[in-house]
Amino acid sequence: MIFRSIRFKIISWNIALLTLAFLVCGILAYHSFKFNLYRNMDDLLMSRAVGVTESIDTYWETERQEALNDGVRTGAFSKINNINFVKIAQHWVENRSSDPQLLNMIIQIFDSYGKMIVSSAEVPDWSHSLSLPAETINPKSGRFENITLSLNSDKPIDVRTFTIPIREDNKVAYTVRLMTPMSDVDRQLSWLRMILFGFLPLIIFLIGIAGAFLARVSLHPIDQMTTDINRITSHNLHDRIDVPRSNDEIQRLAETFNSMLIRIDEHLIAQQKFIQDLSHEIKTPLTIIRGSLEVALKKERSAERYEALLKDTLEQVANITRIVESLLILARFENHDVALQVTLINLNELIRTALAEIQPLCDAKGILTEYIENDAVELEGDALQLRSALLNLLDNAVKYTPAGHTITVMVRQASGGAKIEIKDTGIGIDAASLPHIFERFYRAEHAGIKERGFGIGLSLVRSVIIAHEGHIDVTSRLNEGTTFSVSLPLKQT
Amino acid sequence: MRILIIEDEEKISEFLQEGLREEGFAVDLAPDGEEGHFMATTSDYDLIVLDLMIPKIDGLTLCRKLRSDKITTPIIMLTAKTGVKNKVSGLDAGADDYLTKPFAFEELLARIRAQLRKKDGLTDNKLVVDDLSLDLQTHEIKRAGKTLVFTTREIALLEYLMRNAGRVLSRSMIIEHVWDINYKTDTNVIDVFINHLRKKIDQDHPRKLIHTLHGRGYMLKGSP
Repeated sequence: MIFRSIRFKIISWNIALLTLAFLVCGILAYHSFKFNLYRNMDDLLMSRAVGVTESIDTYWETERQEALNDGVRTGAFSKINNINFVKIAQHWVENRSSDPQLLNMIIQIFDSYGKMIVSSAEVPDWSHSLSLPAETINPKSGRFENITLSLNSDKPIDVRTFTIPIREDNKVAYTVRLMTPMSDVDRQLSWLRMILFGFLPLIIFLIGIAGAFLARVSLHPIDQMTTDINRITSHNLHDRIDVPRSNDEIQRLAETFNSMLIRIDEHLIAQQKFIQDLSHEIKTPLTIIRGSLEVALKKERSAERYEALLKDTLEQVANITRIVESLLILARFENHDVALQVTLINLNELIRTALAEIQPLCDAKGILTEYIENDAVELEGDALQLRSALLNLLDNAVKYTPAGHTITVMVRQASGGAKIEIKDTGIGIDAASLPHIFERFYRAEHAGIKERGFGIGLSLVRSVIIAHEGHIDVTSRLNEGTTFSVSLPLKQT
Repeated sequence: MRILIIEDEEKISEFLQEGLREEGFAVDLAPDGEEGHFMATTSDYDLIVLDLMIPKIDGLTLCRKLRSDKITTPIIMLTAKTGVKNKVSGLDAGADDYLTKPFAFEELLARIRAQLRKKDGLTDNKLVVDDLSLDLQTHEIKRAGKTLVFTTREIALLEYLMRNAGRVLSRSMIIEHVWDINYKTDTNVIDVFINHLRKKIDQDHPRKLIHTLHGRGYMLKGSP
């Protein structure tokens, strides 16, 4: 479980990256430190070697000058194979090797053949000669070498050597070799190694623990949220999870989750309402069918009675079908599940055909119709849906308008859209019912009106208008009439 | 027994009326709360079937109103609403029973019988006076072990007499409980029906059960 947590991932990545970074930095630091130590040591060796040769040369020159002054004729001025030079070199080494500048150093001087003349310390026999012929060594830069020496039967030590040949007339006169133990450098390097490979992992470990703690603290709200979310089932969808006031991702996550809950909850409530509405509306025709069939079956009836019963039953089945279909259409509109088939519509023409369609109803009831076209309006919309909305409104008007009265339909261009008014001089709607007439299954009470719909028509009309980004208003006065005003935009976005 | 049905859905009240009439009940219809209230307070009904969703005064309000008007008639509520909460609010408003749509007609009948039993303090569906018995469920009538055949209206009249055995019942009381509102009061009809009952029940028996009290009405009574 712990291995599959974000906390574990964060910490392990953190530690891995930190280790990698430390490793790279450590290796780079170690090597540059080592390089610098060697260079310092080499610089020191080189400058001391130069000092030694200059000092020997000066000493040799002074001795030679004195001998000349003393009138001693020294036939040989050359340092090559000169016994005097050997003596001077030996003398110099014996006198000067305790110079503080040469502390911790072994000075060796070799003759032109590479044989050791003198050494400031006792060295093993194998180092009494040069490992390479002096001629092959660059007289400017000399040669550095690491060797291991055993001095005074102590355990062997690593030393750094610098060998530089001194030339005279293009020939090697003598060679100076300086040695210095590397124990200092080794000690510093091992100290660095200890820091890098001992101390740093400890720091990484401590950072890891601190990281784990931080991750735990910062991820704790998520664990809390998980518990909260687990608590929420389909039965308590109206519950919300606690939103931490941390103003960070976690607060946003909690808020996002809550707003998702609200959306699901609303959808579920709408669904439940739909099912309740549906079952409630269907119960009436079902009660009629069941009750009338049961009563009829209680005894033998006439053929006419059976026929009437079957017709009634059929009518109720048709009612159920109509309720279900209308409700499904309405539910699809309310769930924004209906894609409008948008085309350019001649609105005047659309209203004219709708009016023509209800004309027979008006004629049968003795109602007059009037159509006022103030403007010619073309707009984008779903012709089929708009036509059905118009028919519903007209049907409504016919239903609640008594004989001899007039239904007036008016269309005009309004700011940014079209306006349709459907006005009747019928029985009107009382003020208490008016706010509810667009609600699903709401049926206002109409004294003396036998025709009753399912209370779906106006909901459907409103859904169609809203789907077209328009709006619908109604004004009404009891016994004076009702006016529906529909506004529609000219273009659909 | 006279029943008032307060229901706005015409088709439902139609079959209820027909079915109950065939069971011998006198049935009146009220299409809305206002009319239902008027009828329930002006006539003496034995039972009221009340739909919850009715115009003008809704069923719950009407139920409370009737109870506060001291109308103790048993009320059976009809509604499409299910759920305990709706039942509780219906019963708390003063209803005696509650039936959800769509219901079986036989269940409604059984519940009506049960309410009437309770009203008259009966323990079963059998009315017995002396050696005369009437089964309210099967409508079987026996006098001294012999089964008698009656018409629906005769059964309704006999049931009313037997439920009120030992009490003097005026003609108008009988009209009110055995015939529904559509029957234009003609008390002579009662005399005709009483004669039919006498022929079937008392003719072959020396001990008469139906008594005429001149100027007051009729009474069904066994021997003391």
